[in-house]
Amino acid sequence: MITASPTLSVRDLSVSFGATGARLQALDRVSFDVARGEILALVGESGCGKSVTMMAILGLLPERVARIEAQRIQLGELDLRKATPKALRTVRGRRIGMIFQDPMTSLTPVHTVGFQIAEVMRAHQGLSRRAAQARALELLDLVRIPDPRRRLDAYPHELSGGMRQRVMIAIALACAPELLIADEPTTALDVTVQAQIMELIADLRREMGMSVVLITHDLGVVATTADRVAVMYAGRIVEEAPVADLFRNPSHGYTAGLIRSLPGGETERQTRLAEIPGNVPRFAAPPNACAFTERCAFALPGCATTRPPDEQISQAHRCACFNREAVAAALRDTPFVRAWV
Amino acid sequence: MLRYAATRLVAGVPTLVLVSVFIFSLIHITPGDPAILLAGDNATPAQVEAIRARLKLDLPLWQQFGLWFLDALRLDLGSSVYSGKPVTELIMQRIEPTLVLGLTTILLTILIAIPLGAYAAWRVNTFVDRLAMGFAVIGFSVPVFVIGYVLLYVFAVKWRLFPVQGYKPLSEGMFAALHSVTLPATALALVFAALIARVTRAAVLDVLGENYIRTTRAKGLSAPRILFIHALKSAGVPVVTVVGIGFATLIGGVVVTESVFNIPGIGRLTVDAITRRDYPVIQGVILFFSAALILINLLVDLTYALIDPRVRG
Ligand SMILES: Nc1ncnc2c1ncn2[C@@H]1O[C@H](COP(=O)(O)OP(=O)(O)OP(=O)(O)O)[C@@H](O)[C@H]1O
Ligand SMILES: [Mg+2]
Repeated sequence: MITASPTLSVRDLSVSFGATGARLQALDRVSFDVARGEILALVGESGCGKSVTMMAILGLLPERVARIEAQRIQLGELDLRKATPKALRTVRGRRIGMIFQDPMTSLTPVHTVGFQIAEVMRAHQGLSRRAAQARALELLDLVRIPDPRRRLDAYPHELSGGMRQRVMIAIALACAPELLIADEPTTALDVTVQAQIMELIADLRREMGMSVVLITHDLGVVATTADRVAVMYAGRIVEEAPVADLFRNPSHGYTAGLIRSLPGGETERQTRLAEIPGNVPRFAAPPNACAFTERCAFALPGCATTRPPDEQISQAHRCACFNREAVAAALRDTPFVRAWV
Repeated sequence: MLRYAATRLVAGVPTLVLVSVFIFSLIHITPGDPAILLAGDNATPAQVEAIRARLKLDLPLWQQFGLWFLDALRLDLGSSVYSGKPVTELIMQRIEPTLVLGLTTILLTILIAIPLGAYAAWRVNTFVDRLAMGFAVIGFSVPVFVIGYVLLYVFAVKWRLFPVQGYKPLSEGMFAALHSVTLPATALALVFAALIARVTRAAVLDVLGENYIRTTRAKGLSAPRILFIHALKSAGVPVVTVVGIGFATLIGGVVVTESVFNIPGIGRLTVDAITRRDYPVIQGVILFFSAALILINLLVDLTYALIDPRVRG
């Protein structure tokens, strides 16, 4: 399927935090590729390690507490594991753009948005002040901010959350990066603005031909926006597939839980979300078990004692679950899955 | 911005009026007859009467205040009981050394303390941070006159790099003047730098945990740019506040320092006036220092607005 070499390729990325005695394993051998021009969604509950994955790739985790190991973190031809701090800095902002969850607090309050957009281009492309300002104006226009000339001199507190997130997108795209990482870009925004921002990201991906990693816990967003999806649970990727494959044939107990928790996913309960009982463990659970066992509706006796291996269901669909067939069969009837078949 | 400045300036006026009421009453709330007080210790009854008549001390208090206040508005603060010279003239004569000392101190303090505090925050809990904050504790807990004498001993007496005492006026050249205030300004600056470095460190440390700093890192900006252009400027309001408070207390330090280094400034004038119970001069310098304080506050407010757009309103 994947013809050209991927934009980003990650193999066996593990991250742990804290002192040697009480280390907290946040990521456990995470592997994935992001192909050129595709949107990969990274889905999972709060605390499962989505942000840590991306921060580790960008070298943004606090050095003194985070221990990072990986077989490969490859951005195009560049090995990010071996990159010097200086080389990593030129990757950030120039080759990888990043948008964060909370637009209200993600912009420096004491500088104008024009300054903050222009600054990236001045740092990476050596543009003059004037050229950078002119580009900033174009970018505000690109992210569809009305009256961009006036906004250039606005301070963040003068803009709404949606506008600020557009500014963040403008900053992330300023140097036309090959990869955009959007870490829950819409969670803090109201519903109509959420849809607009997602649409904007999808459009810009097409216009600029970049790859996108979209972090979210909203399967609805995944369904409408992403090409492929990786489902994370407690520091591991438990299932990965093209969106249609995943929704047609969900195979991990946790994926099943996510799908069932979608509004309207269960016929009897239209409005209330069917929540998955229990909480995400604070760290990747025992190395010799599936971390989801305790909360899983499909758990088998072996799940608690053996870590299920990654298995290919089809060429592009992999899953680490001992009870795949039962999961897929049980979900075949849910309206959400039926809509995709 | 201009309107903001104007409002702040006008807001300073009532304060100054209040201060002048206080200064005026100073001589009337001190026990004893003001005329006798003003006449000094060795005055004859005739001299006391002359003063009573000249200062219209028989008029009702509010009229006296009115007259005094009108004079003060014209910068006429009366004459020294000791030398007979007008108070305004005495202050003007002494203003240069104090201003040179004060401004040099402010500049030195800001140049030492703010980068030091910001850098300590950046390298929090490292050796550099501990060393810097250790210095700050020392600077903070040792009185200015002790630091003054230590500097004097090392740099003036032993190494003879700077004069032991005295002041060279600006008319003898910028360098000569700065050279003569280097030691006293350093002594003062060390004390205030300690305070300001600690506050800067705390404020910047706070800001470094903010989401927008994560954004600057994701943008690939350089460390100095993140620290100084983003973090420090965002932390500006608390820092400027302490700088302001620091300089308010600097006034006390100036008085002590001018005595230690024998600099003929307003601090010395104050000390001399107090020892001679030269009330008109005391009133004059208090008014002068009050006006200076109000000016500092105004500058602080304006700086707030300059660095933080949310303050401008
Ligand atoms: N600097 C850190 N020090 C210690 N633990 C950390 C640190 N950063 C993250 N963690 C831990 O790593 C785990 C994964 O966190 P992460 O932020 O990646 O979750 P997430 O999937 O992005 O969740 P959310 O949806 O809430 O953003 C959490 O248990 C978190 O407490
Ligand atoms: Mg997160």
